[in-house]
Amino acid sequence: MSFLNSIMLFGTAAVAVPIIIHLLNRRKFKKVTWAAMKFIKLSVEQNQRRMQLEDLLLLLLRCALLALLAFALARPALKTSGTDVLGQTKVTAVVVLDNSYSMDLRGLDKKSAFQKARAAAKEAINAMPSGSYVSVLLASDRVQEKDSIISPTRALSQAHEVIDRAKVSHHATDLYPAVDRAVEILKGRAALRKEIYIITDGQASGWQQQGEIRKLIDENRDDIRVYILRVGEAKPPANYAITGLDVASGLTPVDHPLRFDVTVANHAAHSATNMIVGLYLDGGKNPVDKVMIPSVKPGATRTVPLYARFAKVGYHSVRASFDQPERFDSLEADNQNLLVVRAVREVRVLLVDGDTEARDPREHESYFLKLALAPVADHYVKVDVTPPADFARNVLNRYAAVALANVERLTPSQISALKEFLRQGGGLLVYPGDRVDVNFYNNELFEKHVLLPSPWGEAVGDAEQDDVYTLFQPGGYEHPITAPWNNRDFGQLDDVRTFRHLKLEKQPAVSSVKEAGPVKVVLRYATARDAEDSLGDPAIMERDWGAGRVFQFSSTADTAWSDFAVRASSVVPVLYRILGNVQAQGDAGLNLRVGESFLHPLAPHQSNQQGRVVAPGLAQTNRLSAEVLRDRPVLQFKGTHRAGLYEFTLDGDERATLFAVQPDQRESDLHKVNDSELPSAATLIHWEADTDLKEQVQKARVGAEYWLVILLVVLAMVAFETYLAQKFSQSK
Amino acid sequence: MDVEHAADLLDPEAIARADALGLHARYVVEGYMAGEHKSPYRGFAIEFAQHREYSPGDDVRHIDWKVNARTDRLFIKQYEQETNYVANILLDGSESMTYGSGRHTKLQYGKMIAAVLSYLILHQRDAVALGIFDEGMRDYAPRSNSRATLHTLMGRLAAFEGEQATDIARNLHDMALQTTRKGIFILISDFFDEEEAVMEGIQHLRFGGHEVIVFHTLDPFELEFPFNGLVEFDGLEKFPKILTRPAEIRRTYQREIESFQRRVREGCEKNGVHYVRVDTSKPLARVLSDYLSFRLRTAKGKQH
Repeated sequence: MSFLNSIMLFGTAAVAVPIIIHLLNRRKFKKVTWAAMKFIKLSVEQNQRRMQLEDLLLLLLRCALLALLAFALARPALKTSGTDVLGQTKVTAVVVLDNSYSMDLRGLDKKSAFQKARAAAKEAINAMPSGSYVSVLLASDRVQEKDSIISPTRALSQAHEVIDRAKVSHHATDLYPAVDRAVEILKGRAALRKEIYIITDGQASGWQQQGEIRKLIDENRDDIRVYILRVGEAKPPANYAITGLDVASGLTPVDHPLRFDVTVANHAAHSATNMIVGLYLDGGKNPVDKVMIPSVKPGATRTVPLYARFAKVGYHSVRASFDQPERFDSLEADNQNLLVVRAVREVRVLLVDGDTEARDPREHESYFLKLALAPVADHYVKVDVTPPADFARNVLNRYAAVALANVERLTPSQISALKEFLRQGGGLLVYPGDRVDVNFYNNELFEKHVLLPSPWGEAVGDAEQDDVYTLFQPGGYEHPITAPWNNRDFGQLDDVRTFRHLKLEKQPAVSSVKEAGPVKVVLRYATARDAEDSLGDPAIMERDWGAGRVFQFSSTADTAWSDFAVRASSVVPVLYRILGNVQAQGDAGLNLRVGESFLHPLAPHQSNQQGRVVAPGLAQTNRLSAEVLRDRPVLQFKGTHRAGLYEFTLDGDERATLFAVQPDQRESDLHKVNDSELPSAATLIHWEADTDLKEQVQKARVGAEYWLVILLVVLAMVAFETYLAQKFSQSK
Repeated sequence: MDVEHAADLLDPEAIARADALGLHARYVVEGYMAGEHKSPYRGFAIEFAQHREYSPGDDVRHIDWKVNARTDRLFIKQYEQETNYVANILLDGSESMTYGSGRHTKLQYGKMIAAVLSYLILHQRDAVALGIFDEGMRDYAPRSNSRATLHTLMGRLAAFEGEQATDIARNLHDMALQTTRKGIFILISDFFDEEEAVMEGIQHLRFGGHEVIVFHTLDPFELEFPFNGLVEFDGLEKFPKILTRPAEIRRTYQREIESFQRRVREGCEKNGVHYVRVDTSKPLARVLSDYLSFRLRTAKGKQH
């Protein structure tokens, strides 16, 4: 026996009411002075027992009546009752409809898993007794709230409509958030029968948190019945995906060949051979470059370079795509990958050199840095060198990045000029050296202004010792800047020798400065052989600051402490990717993953500005109104549920901006979860069009609510009480 | 009957002293004197004694037509015991008699009965002795046939207030022992006492050769018990309080009180005692005329 509205059980305290009334009544009586006491005494003696019994009976009846009323209002339910004498008790159910993009896969019957899932969902709803409540959650790796019914509704036709309107998203699957949400919804409901229907293709990635899901289902198994309805093909078809598209060159100047790295994944059970991948610019039908990949092993990825050249300054869309994928791949969404990039005419960098006293410029601190950035005279990277005393606010806005190389200290006005420069989206590179006032950097730039990602620590190594050095980490590059080096074809970083460096460390993020963003490690040193730490000291760290980014190096810009500056094959791509990263930082909002919001910042006076977004493959235009985010007005678009190229237009400015949305690559792996891995507390049903879901579900719908019966008993008792009270009060 | 005697009774001072009692006595008596030919007191003397001359207002039925035929004068027959009888009126003045739901308490009503009977008896030239008792004899006016006694009697009656418990039997025994001369005992009481003991007392009186008339005086509420709701009955005569819902025991009560009356009546009848049930809500005139006419009938029956 359980109570669906157990708070009403406190109402049983109302049994005290008749007792109190009884006691109070006994204190309220008329007084009569009487002579014929003898006869009253006789009469009372004859009737006392009966009257007491009658009193007691009425009192008990009244108490029982109130207790039963409270009991009925608490909605008692018996789960084990197998009878449906009282009619099928209504159900409160949550239908979790998997709309991740693997659901788009078509089976042999040409029907997609999602079409089947929709039919299964409707059947589940139709199998519910009338008066039931239902929620419909469109779920991938999140609950798509806008297109779902969150609060359970009795209007089952509304649920049908939502299911009819539902579309496959390009999100990956992770059913935990949806199941968690479903449990949360049901926990808040007072109902006897609570059910969750998880309708999914059983893709393994959807159950990546299967431990959590199992725990959730187990914890609530007494309360909530869970059905897993598997739809679609039992065995996954072959699937190949383009999982990455990256500007390997870093910078994107016009009229220069640019290298794009395209990563291809083979999720099929056999090797893929002779796949052709093409690179398309600005929506063009013909590829500007294509490459044939001879072979990719099952479960492996392969990164190949493709080259393109931009003719015009401005935004371009780049698409990497399989050639005629429909011949070998039935899942469309991951057969292409999109990128929006901004092509530039030139990139200007200012090097602030703290050591320019030597007559030979080769001994200047910035000599090799300049050479690395602009190896020839007429290069698209323009480098200016200045001594620390000369750099000032008014010139900074011409540059994309500023590098401080062995600069002893900065004046307050220089610091504030750098901060303004970062706020506008500039890049700052900071190198140590023997002239650097470590305390100044730590106190002012790290502690006070929180510009640096890390304080300078103790010095490690001796610059004079040529045979004792540290190398960069040989692999496992996590930062996007260094990630291409994970592919050995791209080159290698672990031949750079560093003789001396200042320790950098990642400190817990406590920042009082609003503009200071999170800290990341770009590159680390290799771990010493006898070191217990699995991670070496950071060699380069970065921190977002304002709209810009600060890179902090642990060793010198020249060759005093390290030979990095002269290892052209390492230092040039690293620096270009850093500069490209700074530049892309401003355009980062143009390349999103599905589900990420598109943000267009507005000036403070534009709080009434509006805009519109046209999504790929959808005719309708989404209107955007300014909203305030972190104290600044922005236009925000949250509906990036499908991959593709979106078009954003600001009202009053007819030039459209493009932004690309990538599908979630995790979804490309179509491997299915085994039935035995699914939570055993849930009922598993392999749904086909001829499955009699109703029969299977109804068998489990045992239990009944008893409030109506009890209420009828209470009514009968009220009538009986009235009759008895009347009868008892008759004269005897 | 003399008008001046009536006027005596109607003396305003006497009325004031005797509370409402005198007024009622006057009303009752007047009613009979004014138009009623069956004068109520006539029935008390049941054996012929002598003649006296007719005076206006006398019942013409009492004119001795034989004498009239002989003498051509009007004489009224008078009866033998008229002055020989002593009426001992015993009024129960216990606290239980002070209950009254209407205009009068039982005691007031009993006082009225006593007053009216005294008036009637004295006017008939019989002697009246009046005793008011509870546990013991509280007030006793020895017998007298002087009409002037009426004032005293009424004063005494009016002054008495009941506040003690009752012991009827003891008083009856006492009276039976004290009264040697045969007479009429008129007992006015609610008989809320030990019934058997009371009956023994009455028997004692009867053994003494006395005639006994019982006026069993009860309040209508005591007969009907019309209370509702929860009521605490505070007992007179130191009876403990009882809290009950009277509506639920009404029938039992009524049964009990009826059987009580029946027992008293049957006890009386068995001992040759006239039993008169008095409902204090009924007009006194009606009660007395009913009884007196009954008495007259039975007396006549005895005469023939």
